[in-house]
Formats: sequence, C-alpha cells, structure tokens
Amino acid sequence: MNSFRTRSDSELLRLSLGGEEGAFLALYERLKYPIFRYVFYMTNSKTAAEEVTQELFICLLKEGNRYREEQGDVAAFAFGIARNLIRRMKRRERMYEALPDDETLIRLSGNIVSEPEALPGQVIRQQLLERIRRAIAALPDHYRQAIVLCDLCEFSYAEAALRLNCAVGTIRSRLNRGHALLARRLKQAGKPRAELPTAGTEECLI
Amino acid sequence: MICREVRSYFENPFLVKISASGGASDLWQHVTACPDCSCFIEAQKKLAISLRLAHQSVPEFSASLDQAVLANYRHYIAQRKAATRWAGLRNRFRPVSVLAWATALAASVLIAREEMVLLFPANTAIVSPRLDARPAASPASSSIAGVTRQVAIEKNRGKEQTFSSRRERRLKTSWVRGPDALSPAFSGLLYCDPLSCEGAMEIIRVELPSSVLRSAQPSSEANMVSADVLVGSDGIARAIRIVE
Repeated sequence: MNSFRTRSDSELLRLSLGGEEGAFLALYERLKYPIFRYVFYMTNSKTAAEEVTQELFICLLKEGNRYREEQGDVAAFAFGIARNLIRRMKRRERMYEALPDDETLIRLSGNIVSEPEALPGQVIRQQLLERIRRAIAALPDHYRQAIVLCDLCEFSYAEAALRLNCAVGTIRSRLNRGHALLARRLKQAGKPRAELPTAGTEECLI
Repeated sequence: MICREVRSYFENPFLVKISASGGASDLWQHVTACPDCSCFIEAQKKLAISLRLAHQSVPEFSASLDQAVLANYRHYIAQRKAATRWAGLRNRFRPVSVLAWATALAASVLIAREEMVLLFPANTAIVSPRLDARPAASPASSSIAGVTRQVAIEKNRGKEQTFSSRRERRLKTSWVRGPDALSPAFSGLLYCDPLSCEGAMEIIRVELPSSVLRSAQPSSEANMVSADVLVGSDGIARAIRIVE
C-alpha cells in the first residue's frame, strides 16, 4: 500500500485496471472525499452522494481505458464522470416529487413557532444549514458548480477550471455571479413569512 | 474609491473578514460612508458565514461505502478475468477455425492412408492363379473339402494399371498373410479364362496320393503328399501346389 502512495493518479488508475487492489485503494483514498463532498453539495443528499460515489468508481473501472493523460488528470476525469452521473440522476428523478423528510418537517415546525430565538441553537443551526443547502442546490448548474468546487470543496480557481474544463476567468465570473445570486436568495429565504407576498383570504377560499 | 472597486475587491466573500481586520483604511472609510457598499459587505459577510457553515457540515463518510466500493472492484476484476479467459478460449477455438482444422485433419488422414497404400503394395500379397498355365483336368480335385483360409483373386488386366484400376482392385481383393500362402508355385488344373475365373477363391490344404499328382509333379516320390488346392466359388479346383 505504501508503495502506491508516491505514484501518480494515472499510474494508479492503470494499475487498478490491471487488477492491483492496492493501487485501486490508494486511488480511492485520494478521490473519495472530494468526490463525495462535490456530489453531496450538488445534490444536497447524502444517499445520492453515496450512490454516485459508488457508481463513479465502477464507471472509472469500466471507462478507465478511455482516459488520456494529456487531456487532464484522473481527478478531472472522475469529476467529469460524477457530473454526468448527477445529471443523469436528476433527469431520472425529475418525474418524482420527493416527500418531505424529517429535516423539512423540523423546518416547517420552526416556521410555526413565533419566537425562533426560544428554540435550541442546534435546531436553528439545522434550519439555517438546510436553507443554505437548498439555496445552493437551487442555483443554476454552472454557478452551483463553481461555488461548490471553489467555496465548499476548496479547490483553487485553476483546479476548478481544470475540473470543469473551462478558463480560469470563466470560473471567476461564474463565482462572482453565483455569489450574488446566492446572497439574494439567502436574503429572500431569511425573510419572515409576514414580509413575503401573500395571497388574500378571498383568493384562498376559491 | 468607487463602489465598483469595492465590489470587485470583495468578490470573494471569504476575503471580507480578512480585509475587515487588517484592510486598507480608505476602503473601509468608503464602506462606512456608502450605504450600498455597507449593505454589500454585510451580505458578503453573511454569505461567507453561510458557506463556511455549509462547508463544515458535510456528513461523515460511511465505512459501508468503502466496503461496497472495494467489493465492487473485486467483483469487477474477477468478472473481467473470467470474461478475458473465456474470450481467449473463444478466439482460439472459433467454430469456423475448428471446422477448418477438422476438415484439414480429416483430409490429411485420408491422403496419408492413400499414400500408404500406394507406397507399400509389397506388404500385401495377392495370390493369383496362373491363368496362363496349361489346363490339366482332374475330376477328383473338384471334390476336395476343408477350408483353410480365404484369398481373393486378382483380375489380370495387363501390365498397365492405372490408379483407378488399383483402387478398384483393392476394393475387390482381400489380402493373404503367411509365407506359405505366398508361394507362387501353383500349377493350373484346368483352363480358365479371366472371365470364368472371376470371384473369390479358397485355398484348401489336402493330402493326396502321390500317384494322383504325378502328372502335375512328377518329381514327388512319397506315397502321400500335402498340397494346397485353389478352389473357385463354384467348387471347381483351379490350381494346385505341392507343399510337402
């Protein structure tokens, strides 16, 4: 296992395809956390993140022969696969409407309470976190990718540009616009219910 | 400093906190004076806090996922090895090539068999009656009984024998083994042309008084002699030779 730590990602992938389990484990250790974080922030679901991470490594083995070192590093190749898997998953699940999970129910109950400051700090934090995640997940795809990679996965602009196969300037502009959009949405989401435009009582009775 | 410069300076929300602690004084003077920029900075601060919170709240990576990925890898490698082995066998023994090899092998066996027959005809002896011998009628010889071995007669078709005639002959004849049977010293007992002498014949070992054969073998002096008689399928003796 130690002998594989010094090898490059492309070497590890080649050895993994040849049946070297140690090489595969080393490559997996290198890629699993960034991939998992990326997929989690992109989908806002731990289950989906685990599913995509698992499927990604199968795809990496199946499609590993198509990898060309001159076109980028293995991590970029893996992120490309992850991106496609996420898109496929969202397309597949678009027709289904998700039932509210426990966290959503807590959030809804928090809205009913008149004084949220009275709730324990843990619940408030959870609400805030859920709101942030939802706001990130609701961003347009290209903005979300830039924010997730640069702000949440802590990649540099150059690394993010490599992963998304675009220029560094594109990443910067997407990030800037994404931040602006996210700040606006968070501000909207943080407003009390009374400030939100509501329909009149007579309209609801129809 | 104008608002645009402030905004471009703080395009990364994480920089807001750093710059606020030790940033340029003219920048912060503008921010405190300009309500838009102060709102922008506040929004960026909130955004930075939110992103940091989201960054810190990643769920833990479950160990079962590690095991599942490793199990998938092992399964995939085993499956691929099996598939490679099977593909190798399939490539080596493709049905077309198997058929071609089997055909070639059968053809080579047939050719070898033909060659063996053609190259080593001396191993087989064909007993043929001396059809050109003078006829010597002997009514007693036709009643000889007792089969010892079976031979075939070869049609005398002349010296020029083609491949087809040889093959035809092989099909019609059976081979006689044993040194005593190979003796060519048969004397014809009656006249027979090739047409009437066609068909299988038998050699019968008989004991005869020497006086009976005196005409054929005048040199024999013993009272009884052993002789091989060549008898046709019609029961008529065609030729004889003295054994003792």
